[in-house]
Amino acid sequence: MIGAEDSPGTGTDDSESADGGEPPSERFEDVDWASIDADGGGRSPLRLAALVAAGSYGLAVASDRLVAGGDPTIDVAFGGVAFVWDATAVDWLFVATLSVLAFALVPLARNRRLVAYYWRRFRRHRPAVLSLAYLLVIFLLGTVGTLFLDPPALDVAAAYQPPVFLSVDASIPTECVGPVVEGRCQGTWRYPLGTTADGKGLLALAIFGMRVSMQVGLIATLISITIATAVGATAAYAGGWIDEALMRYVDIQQTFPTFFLFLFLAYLYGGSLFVLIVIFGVTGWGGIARIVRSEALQRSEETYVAAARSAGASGPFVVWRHVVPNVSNSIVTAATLNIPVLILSEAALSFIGLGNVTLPSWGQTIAAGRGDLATAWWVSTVPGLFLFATILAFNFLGNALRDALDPRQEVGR
Amino acid sequence: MTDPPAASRDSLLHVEDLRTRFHTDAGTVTAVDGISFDLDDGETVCLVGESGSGKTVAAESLTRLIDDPPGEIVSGTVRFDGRDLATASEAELRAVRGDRIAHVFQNPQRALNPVYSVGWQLLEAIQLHDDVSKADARARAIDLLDRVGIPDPATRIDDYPHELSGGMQQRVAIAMALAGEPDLLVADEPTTALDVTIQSQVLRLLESIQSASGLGLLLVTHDLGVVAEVADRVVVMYDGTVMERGSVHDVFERPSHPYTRALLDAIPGRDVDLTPTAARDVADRDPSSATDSTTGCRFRSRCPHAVDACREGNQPPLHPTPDATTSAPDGARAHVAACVHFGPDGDPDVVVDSAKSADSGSSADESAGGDRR
Repeated sequence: MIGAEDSPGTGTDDSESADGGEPPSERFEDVDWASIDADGGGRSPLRLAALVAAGSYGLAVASDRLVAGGDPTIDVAFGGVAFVWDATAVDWLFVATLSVLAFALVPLARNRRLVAYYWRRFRRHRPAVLSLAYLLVIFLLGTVGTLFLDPPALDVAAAYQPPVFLSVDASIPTECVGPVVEGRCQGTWRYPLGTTADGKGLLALAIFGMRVSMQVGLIATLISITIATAVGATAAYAGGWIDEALMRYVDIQQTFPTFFLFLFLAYLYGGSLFVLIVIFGVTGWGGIARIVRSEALQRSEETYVAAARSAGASGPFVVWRHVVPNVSNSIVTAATLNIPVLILSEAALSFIGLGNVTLPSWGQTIAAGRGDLATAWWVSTVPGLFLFATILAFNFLGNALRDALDPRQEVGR
Repeated sequence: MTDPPAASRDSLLHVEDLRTRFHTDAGTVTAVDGISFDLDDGETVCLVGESGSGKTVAAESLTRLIDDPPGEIVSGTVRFDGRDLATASEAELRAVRGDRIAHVFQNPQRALNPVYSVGWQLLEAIQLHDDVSKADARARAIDLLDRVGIPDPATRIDDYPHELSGGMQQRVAIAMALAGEPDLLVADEPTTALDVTIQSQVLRLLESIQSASGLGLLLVTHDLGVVAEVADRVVVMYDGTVMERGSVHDVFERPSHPYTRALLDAIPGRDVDLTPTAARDVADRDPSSATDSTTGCRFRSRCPHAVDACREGNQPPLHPTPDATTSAPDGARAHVAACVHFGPDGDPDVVVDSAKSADSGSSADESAGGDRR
């Protein structure tokens, strides 16, 4: 049975390395298999997992081709292999992340009653329900929408167009796309949210910015919670010097200036999204590891852990099958609250020009429009509002999830 | 100590001089301080004592379930089926746990993982030791649930622990313990968290399982009513040491150690006092802190019969009681008590005759029996 699980995995790995050899994706794929292996222990979920994983790889390959072949901006602007490589790596990671998330939802989907129960608890938070809807839209636009939309194109003639229903003094845009009424340029549906100084449509920029934000938030968070769960649960269960060593390492890592590491790497290799994601993912798990550890410490004292050991289960088995599932609600909550921090950090780095300047990140667009605030206020404001709403939505979602999943932390109800 | 050859060879489980310590911030606590007992196939041995007497630690030390650190088995042997589990490797222990020695814990609500269905956990217990297919394992799980008296097991198998009553949960926990078809079942206060009617059902279940499969049962309890009902032999523990050991008949009919007598007196509704009334206040005092010095008899500060000799040396060795000749002759099964009054220089009558009303053993047995549920 184990051989049967391994062979499709090896198959995808082979096709992947033939395609370009992505060690990070491969690693995530391994995580995938492990979680599926432990998930039901049955055969049909494994089959399903194999199918989904293979499918997601097909999708990844397709998107790889699409980006490399069908995106002239990136090719023209940078041309070099290195940049194409970067974009591919992030996309690969993103696909792997999404498939891991999909697998994580499998046990939930199997248990309708539990989902209904959590939904009833979650539903009590109106802002959180709205936030969820908003985030789903952002997520779908950013992931699926960007596959079908044209990236924002340079069009100097269409610079500084105001958003639809709004107008601006006709002297500000180079050329008004819409009608000019009483010396004021009216916004048009061609650029519903206006355009930048380059004449790029802000709606398209915002949508492509969603993808960047989702990639940063989801991939780095998944890396973080994977490491944090492994470290936290191991520390709690093993105790003694292992616990001490791991947690003191977390202390040291928490003092480490991630910002300067990124600055250094951005200086050496140029600010790439891939480096940013990996750095945030690999260095940002300390806090979550502490949460997981403290939760896992309580769970390790439960009799069912002793019962599993008394039934002959090994240490790693107990951690993976009994401790981790019981701290998963804390992990989910911590992850949800970790995402907005990362999105904000990426926006901040892009704002000060340390990100990948060719990526339509929200922070980048905000920075680009800050000189024109007096004349074309919408250039910075539109991506700023999206950023604001997204951060707020994730925070609402995180708080509502915490209340729904962990009744002990419920306050004032 | 020397091996009593007959006992060690015949017994399923032979525990000798087992010592378990915990290194805590407040100092080192010797929770189990040199206990010895034997258990045969198909036999029920009860570890009895008040809270904090080390019963649970002793039971969990058998397969080294205690957390290490801070716990540590300092010395002693746990010979199970020819192997010494006290020095066995972790891998060897894992092979024994569940498959040969299984545990049932006190609180079934906490012994079942809330995030998994009953069936999932039973399947896990089955598949940990047997490489069987999921379908076969499920069939066996349903069979196990049927065996422990769960009605409609094919439906209940998909229930989550919180959907079952406490008694049902404990039945599931017992089914999980039986999944590996163990030779020895260690049940740590399996009925304490259950209400009285369910308690007797669970005890009947354990009895019937034992008579059907002939496994050895080590029952940890503080409930003397339970002991009287199911035990073959009794090990009375106090502060980590064995105070008295013998067949249930001997211990209940002729309780010898002052502590055992105080325990039996503590059963409500008994009309016979085994301990002088004036001394019972003393026996009611809290047990001394386990970090106290370990010289002399552990029970002496609460004992109505304490003499100077009780302060000397370590806990007195287990001396044969006057009725030892009536029970099995070999060392492991004899009726013994760790009290100086039963030693070569002591006079058992100091303890046994101290309460004049307790003149005959049969009345004591009757009242113990009267406490049965």
